[in-house]
Amino acid sequence: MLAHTSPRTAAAPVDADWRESRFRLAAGGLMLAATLLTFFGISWDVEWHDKVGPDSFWTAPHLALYSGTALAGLICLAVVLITTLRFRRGAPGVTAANTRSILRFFRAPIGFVVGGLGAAAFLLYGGFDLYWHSIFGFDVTLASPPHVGLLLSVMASGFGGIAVFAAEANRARQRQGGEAGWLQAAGLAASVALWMGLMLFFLLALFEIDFGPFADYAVTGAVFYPLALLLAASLIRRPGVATLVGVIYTLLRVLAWFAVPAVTSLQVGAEGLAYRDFASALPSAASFMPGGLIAAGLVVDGLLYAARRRRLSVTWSVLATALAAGTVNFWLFNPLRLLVGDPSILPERRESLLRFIEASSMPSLALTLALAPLCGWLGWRLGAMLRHTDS
Amino acid sequence: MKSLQQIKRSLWLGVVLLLALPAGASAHLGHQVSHVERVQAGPYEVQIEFSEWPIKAERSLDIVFWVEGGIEGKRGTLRQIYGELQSGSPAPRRPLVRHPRYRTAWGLDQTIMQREGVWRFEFEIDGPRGKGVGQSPPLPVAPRPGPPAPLSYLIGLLPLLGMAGFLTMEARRVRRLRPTDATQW
Repeated sequence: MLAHTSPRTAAAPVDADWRESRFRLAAGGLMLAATLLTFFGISWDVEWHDKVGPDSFWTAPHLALYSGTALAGLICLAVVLITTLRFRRGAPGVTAANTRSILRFFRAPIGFVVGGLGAAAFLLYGGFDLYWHSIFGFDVTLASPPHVGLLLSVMASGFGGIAVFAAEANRARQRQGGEAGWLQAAGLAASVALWMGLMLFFLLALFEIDFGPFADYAVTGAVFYPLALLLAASLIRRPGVATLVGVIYTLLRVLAWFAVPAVTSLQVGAEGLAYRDFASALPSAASFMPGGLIAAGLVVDGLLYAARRRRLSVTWSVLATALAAGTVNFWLFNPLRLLVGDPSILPERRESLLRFIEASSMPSLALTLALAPLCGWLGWRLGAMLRHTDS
Repeated sequence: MKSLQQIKRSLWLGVVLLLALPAGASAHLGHQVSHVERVQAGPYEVQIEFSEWPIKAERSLDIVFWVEGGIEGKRGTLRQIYGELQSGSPAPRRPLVRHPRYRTAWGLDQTIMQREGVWRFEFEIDGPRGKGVGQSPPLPVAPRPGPPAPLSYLIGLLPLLGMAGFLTMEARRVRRLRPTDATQW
């Protein structure tokens, strides 16, 4: 290690550092594309299981979602190996300051390490799922142990993506001073939005839990969406980042809303199968994606901007902003009401849904008012911590 | 000595078989009938086909209800009664819907019996010959197979441990820097 003396531990010259950043941003972008495929594949799989049913391990949705994660994993592996090689060769852009030592041998940005490990875990849990099917037959629930492992792994991998762009935003701040530019901000916003997309399936699995008087989507809505929005707003302190997260998330929702049922319909036709009676006409996954996230993002950006201008207390401003965002999301997001308006479902189901909506409104709003500020504040602190991840 | 044509043909056959095998494994082109029970619901006879027998708790199976004379013009409900309860008990009644792959029969497509023990299916059918109610003979459900559920869920939750570890490591590293990003703009 003596060969790596002070020039290697010092920061790289700016040109070389920026070239290294371009490489990492490009790899991060490819990772996002691969993760998008996984998001689409899982949405498609949820739709298939909900509306049609029969399954083997080798269906088209499974192929899509496993390919996406395998690709993301390979990209991360490639970055780790390439970065290690370049570090050992003394390449100017790769230093001890902008990489982490992994297992005392590898050198890589931590985001790609987390992303790669998440993807690897996903494939392992795929094996567990195959075994599980041999014992329990076709899937009946989203919340089986292998599925929980799969969904948490893919979320971990998605979090690696966030760490990649967070590190790049932080390095851009160090290089040029001020806040990160819009290239890094866009990458970060996209990675947060995709993470929220992936989170959806874990939330759907959580819905198997009985939340008593509280509507399940409201519980998860009060916790996770304020957290994610405030995480983004804290990581890159430019007004507009939270809104950008909302815009990209809404694009994902549009994709899931229209493309997934279309592709499922093609698949049903091609395999000569039929939809279940009384299957909802709504897309199974997308109907549980909040539709008001652009509004929530605008609220976050607007309130934080105003609070910053007036130099108000950060903690109180974040709490108030998260409360507002959580409330906006609550008012604009009611998947049960969407379902009630769907003419395809059984009348008995419509009635029981209506009763539940009425009974759970007030408790769910109260819970949102209590949880959203706390979780938003948590997201802000998490983002503040990640502002120091630069390798 | 095989000609190139013959080799190509064999290769294509191999590819087709390889693709056909998983499709065969999916069994959605027709389930195997492992067991049949008959129920008389008033004037209607119902034949229940199980894709698996014996039934194991939490293991998914296909159940098809063939009604004598077809299901056209008939409506039915089903109650799945657990244990030795009388038919006046509060087991929920649900409408019978067509099995997606047997459109002339009702069914429970990819369903599970939640608990081991003895179950009964109670049918209420309304049709051209009037209303009829009937209960199946006792249907035994064997214990849940596979590894214990708590252990399995613990394995499934491991990525959370990984994420917690990563975040703790980052938090420790950052704490040493004593940052103020959380409380300053």
